[in-house]
Amino acid sequence: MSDWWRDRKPPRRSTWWHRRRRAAPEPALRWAVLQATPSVARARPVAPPDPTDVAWLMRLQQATDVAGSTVRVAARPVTEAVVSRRAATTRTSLTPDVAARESAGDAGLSLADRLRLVLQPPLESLLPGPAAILEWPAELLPYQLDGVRALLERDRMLLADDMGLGKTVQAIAAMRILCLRRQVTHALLVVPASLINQWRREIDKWAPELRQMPIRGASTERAWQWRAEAHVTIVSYETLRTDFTDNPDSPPRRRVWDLVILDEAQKIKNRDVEVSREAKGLRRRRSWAMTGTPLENKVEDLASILEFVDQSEGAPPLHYAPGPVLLARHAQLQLRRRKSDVLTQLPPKQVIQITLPLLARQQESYTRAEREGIVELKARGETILVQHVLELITRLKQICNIDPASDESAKLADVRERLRVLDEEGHRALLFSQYTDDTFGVAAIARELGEFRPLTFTGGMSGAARDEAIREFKENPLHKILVLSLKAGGVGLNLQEASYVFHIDRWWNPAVERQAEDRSHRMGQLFPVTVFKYTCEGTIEERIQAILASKQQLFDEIIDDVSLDVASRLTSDELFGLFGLTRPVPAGHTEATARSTGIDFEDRCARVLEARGWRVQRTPHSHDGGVDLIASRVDEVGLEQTVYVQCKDHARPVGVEVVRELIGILPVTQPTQAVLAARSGVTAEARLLADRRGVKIWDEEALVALERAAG
Amino acid sequence: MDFSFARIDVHASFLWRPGESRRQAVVALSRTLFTAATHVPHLLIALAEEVPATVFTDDLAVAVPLCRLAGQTALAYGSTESLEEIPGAQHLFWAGPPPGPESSARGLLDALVARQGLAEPFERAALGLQEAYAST
Repeated sequence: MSDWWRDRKPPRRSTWWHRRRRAAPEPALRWAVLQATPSVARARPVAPPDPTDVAWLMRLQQATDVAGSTVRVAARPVTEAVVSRRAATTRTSLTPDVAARESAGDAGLSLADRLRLVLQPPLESLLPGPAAILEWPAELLPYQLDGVRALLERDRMLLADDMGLGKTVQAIAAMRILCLRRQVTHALLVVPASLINQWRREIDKWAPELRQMPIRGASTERAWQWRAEAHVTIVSYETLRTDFTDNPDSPPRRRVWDLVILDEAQKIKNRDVEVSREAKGLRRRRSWAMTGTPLENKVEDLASILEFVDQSEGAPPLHYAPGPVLLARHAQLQLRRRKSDVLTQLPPKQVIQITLPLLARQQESYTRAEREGIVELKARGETILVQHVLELITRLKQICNIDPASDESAKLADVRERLRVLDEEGHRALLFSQYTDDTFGVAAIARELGEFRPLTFTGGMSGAARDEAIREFKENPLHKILVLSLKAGGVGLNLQEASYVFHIDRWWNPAVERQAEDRSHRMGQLFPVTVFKYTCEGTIEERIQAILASKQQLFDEIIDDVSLDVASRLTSDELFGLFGLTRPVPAGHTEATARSTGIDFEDRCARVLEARGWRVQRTPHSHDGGVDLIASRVDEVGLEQTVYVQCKDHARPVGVEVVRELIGILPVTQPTQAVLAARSGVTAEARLLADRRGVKIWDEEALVALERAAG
Repeated sequence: MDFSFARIDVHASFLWRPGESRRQAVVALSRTLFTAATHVPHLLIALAEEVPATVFTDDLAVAVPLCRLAGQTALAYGSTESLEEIPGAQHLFWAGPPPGPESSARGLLDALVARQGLAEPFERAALGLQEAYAST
């Protein structure tokens, strides 16, 4: 009585056992995916290989060299092969890396390895294409297939394709094939936090059988997440920094990863930051780095990324210095394709520079702020720092966005007019600002453009809220504009729904701006993309733009696609010159002091302490554990006091991670004080944490005051 | 009228995705029920809030008219199902094409609707099961 119903699928069989049935030898060999993973269910047999394929016949000959045991290797249809345990695999059939391993010692190849090498399907049958035995959701373009092949052949690679060329898809396709071949069982994917969900969606789409485990949530949650048996563990740079500790048993260090992928690898461009050291400290067999801008500011950026890519498992840390060795290695490790070379079918991108005069009351506010700012700078005299100039620049740039006194905005008035036209024509837009606040930034802009039902996307939103904003923008065409912060929304997102891009303020870093524009100008975009960049006439924006333009030309001739941000792009003299000022040298300090090395700066801090009666002990210059000076003295009531000092002689304000690191190494068993001496000061976030945790900040101003007090 | 029941223990294990263990249980129970049936039914009715649409779109295929019954509360129904509203603010989600006007299934359905008895077997079964298993 079962002919009126049936199971659509036969009951699922276990993958770890099956009934042994010795089938009669088949007249012809049949071909199947080797691994007994969930992918088998997705694999389908294909025609046997071409008997004229010499390489295949050679492998078959070796596989059927009758001298050993019979091994059955896969779900049906299968190849039943009699394999010699002593059979040597031909080196020509191996990937370069496996061949290297074999040449290092034949004993390294197990029977399973030999089977895998002998019987695995040709690469072309795994890649997307007409002969594919794997299901792929879409075809890959020829250059993407080349990228996948390159990733499969190399344990170390810097994939530096232009933004929007599909680096993510190439990496996932290669990772999928490596997992199916059992060459990778645990991969670690390190990505910016804002991109975790996008990576998850892409993996779901392109490698649905791979198990993913995002690392997030409370530390107790993360502890089991790290232990989970997943093909791909996905972690943000920030979480990696938290979970990677000195303890060799800390979760990211507990296992040797078969593959570590760094997305947006420019995050480790500075080899001195914590996350850079940690990424390089991951034990791994393969290292892939992905970024469209491997060199943002200086050659050291590239060196730091290559140090990650090129490091062998168990080898001491690499240190590449700028020079011919680095460049030669770079040429061997990097794969880079430019959009104009490979995507000739991509619609054009037009960049329009718009220069607007400020509105009347906005101009008044601007002029007043500039005048007062210059007076304030001059009043600082010798204590003036680059930081103070940058603060004034920021204040003036913000007024160029929106005048807080009158709410007037020449830029937004222009944006509003253009959006009305675009709306009538059925187009939608992205608008980027470097500020997120509700006076000058994303929140204020969204409020001013309310008639276009804007959505916002900033780093301050939760991951779920950001996902919801993107989903809503993609699915609901009533939202005519998405207002994004340049930092959070400028990388990784796919927003082809919009074909107009507005840069309401300028980051002064063309690479960052291009990355943001490429959210729209990427594969899948059907319309020409128009980019509007705003500058206000007669303002600081125009003056900096002029200086940068003169330098950009020279820079473009030297290195392709390289850019600098304002603080490192302009010299101190140029920054002071923007306001007709000259950089002062504090009394008692020579030009040499201003250029002092880190060690000089430590000595200077030590002298300040010694002058106040502290005994100062210097820690080793490297491996200082985050402390440069330990000072102690006995106070009036006989108690010994200790101060831990971290010295940072950086050209820019140091970030919160330095404060966090300093707090982390303070002993908990004895009363101690901590001082962060930072010549260029600290960021607002760092100051907030320092105030909360009782860490004193000595910037140049404070140091000068202490030196004066000491006579 | 045949009455058959089976019982399956659903383990609340973290190894199951939410909802997946329940779906597997429903599939297993349906399979048991169908295997035990001594006649080919003219019409199958399931409660929409207890039987997910995927049971009959992904797991089991039946060759007789089958619908899921939803009460006043609007429930989402599968993309391959078709909706039929019936008196009494009830909805039927047909897994395949609804039965034609001359079919025995339609006659049976109309008779049950006219007597307001479409949901009655489910209410009786629930009362019976509650009585039988209230203590466990």
